[in-house]
Amino acid sequence: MSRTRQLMTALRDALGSSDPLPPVPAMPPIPPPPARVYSPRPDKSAFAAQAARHTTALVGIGHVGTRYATDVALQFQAELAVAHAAVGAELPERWAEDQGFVGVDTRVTSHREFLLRPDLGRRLSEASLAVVRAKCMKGVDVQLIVADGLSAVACAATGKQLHDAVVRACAARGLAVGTPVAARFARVWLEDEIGQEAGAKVAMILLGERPGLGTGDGLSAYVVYDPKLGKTDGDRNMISNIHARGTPPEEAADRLAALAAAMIAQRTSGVTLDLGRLGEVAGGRGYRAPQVRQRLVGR
Amino acid sequence: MILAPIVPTVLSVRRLPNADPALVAAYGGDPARHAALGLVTCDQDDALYVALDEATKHAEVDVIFAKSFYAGSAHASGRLSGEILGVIAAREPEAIEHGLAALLRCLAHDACFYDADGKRGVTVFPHVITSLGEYLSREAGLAPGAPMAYLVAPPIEATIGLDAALKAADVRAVRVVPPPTETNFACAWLTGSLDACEAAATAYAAAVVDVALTPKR
Repeated sequence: MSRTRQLMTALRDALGSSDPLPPVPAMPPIPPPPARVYSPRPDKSAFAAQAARHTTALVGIGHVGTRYATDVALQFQAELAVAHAAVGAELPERWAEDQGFVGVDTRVTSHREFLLRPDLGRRLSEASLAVVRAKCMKGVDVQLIVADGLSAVACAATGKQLHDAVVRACAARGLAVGTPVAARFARVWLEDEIGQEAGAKVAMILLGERPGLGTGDGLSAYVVYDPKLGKTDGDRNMISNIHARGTPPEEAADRLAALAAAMIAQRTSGVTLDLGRLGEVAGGRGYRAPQVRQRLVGR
Repeated sequence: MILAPIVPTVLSVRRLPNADPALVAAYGGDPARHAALGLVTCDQDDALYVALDEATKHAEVDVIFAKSFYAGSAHASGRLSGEILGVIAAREPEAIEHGLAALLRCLAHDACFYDADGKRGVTVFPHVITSLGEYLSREAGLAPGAPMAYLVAPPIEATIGLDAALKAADVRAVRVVPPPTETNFACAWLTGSLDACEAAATAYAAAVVDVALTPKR
């Protein structure tokens, strides 16, 4: 309806003219613009389907005019929401004790502070330092720490499972594993302080990793030889994407035990560790099929 | 019927898919960019000016020519002349089609004169453009997308009406054309917020109706 005609009709009523107006002609239908998909979709093109099998990168997603197709845009938003939810999640207060771990806290007091102050998440609180000193076995080969990191979702889901698998894999290689510790609001470098207090040869922290698009359930493992405050990332080896669609926990556990054994044998870790002497591990170092991208929205 | 819409009559619609460059240049176009033309004549010049502007909002077209004819459609040079010839131009004929569709839709449903005295002896064009297109924004020196009240009436009605419109709302005059114009009407373009433009147009129409019904007071 024309705005001007509405105004004039209202003015006409206000002026007291009551003759009926001629009927308003019907608007002609406006055809929708043609939706043109220019590039192939995986289900439309054999080439795009082949390419998509080798990567989780978004290939062959097509476009509509200059924009993404609706399902692609929705998938992106859904994957981003998964990542946001994982970062926002918190580990329950008594989770560590319920799972049979020694629970420790960092100097962080709230989730918001945890996100804003990485430095506080790298150090034990005074009370927890005393707990570690009192309860942890000393002089072990491997000190394991399970932590929430940036995805409490991942830690709560598969943290315990990965921990148990690593314990089994270490035992199979004859490595003595220390008292299991679980930390809340923890960053990677927390392993330095705990490992140092336990006097462990190797410290290994298993924690929820910074979520990527659609993967809020991934764990990372960081391993360091001769842990002590002041170690840098150059001294660490790590495995990321430990989840069902990436590296499965069982396979990751075998590799982590191999890493720890190699560190103890070579008495070093990080960039100076010779990974060529790692020996045979599950999954090997050859080709691995890429992750499968989960569809979170329908077409 | 007071303020009943007087729907404009489209007298001719023709296309020139590949106009001669000399013709394009003579009518104000750029032969390098304008090959296809769409030509329309209509018995209401101001409704067509608004409709031409509407076309620029819906298609990649330029209004290269739009001129009113002397003394209006009651004194036209032929039965197809009306009181205006408007020409839109584009590179491709398809753009002309989209532009003409929008233009004709606007003429049929939106822009029109209104009967101010119930006998069609006095007519008024109190049109509110909610969002200016490329053509009228350039003519008015306003930003595309700005609202504008496009007000036309015969000489004395327009004069009284413009005073009422300017006093009715917080609007400013962009262009005031006192009589006589080609068609012997008088014209004013006002801008402000959309609400202000609507209030001004309503006051303008009310004043024109008032003058039309009581010419001597």
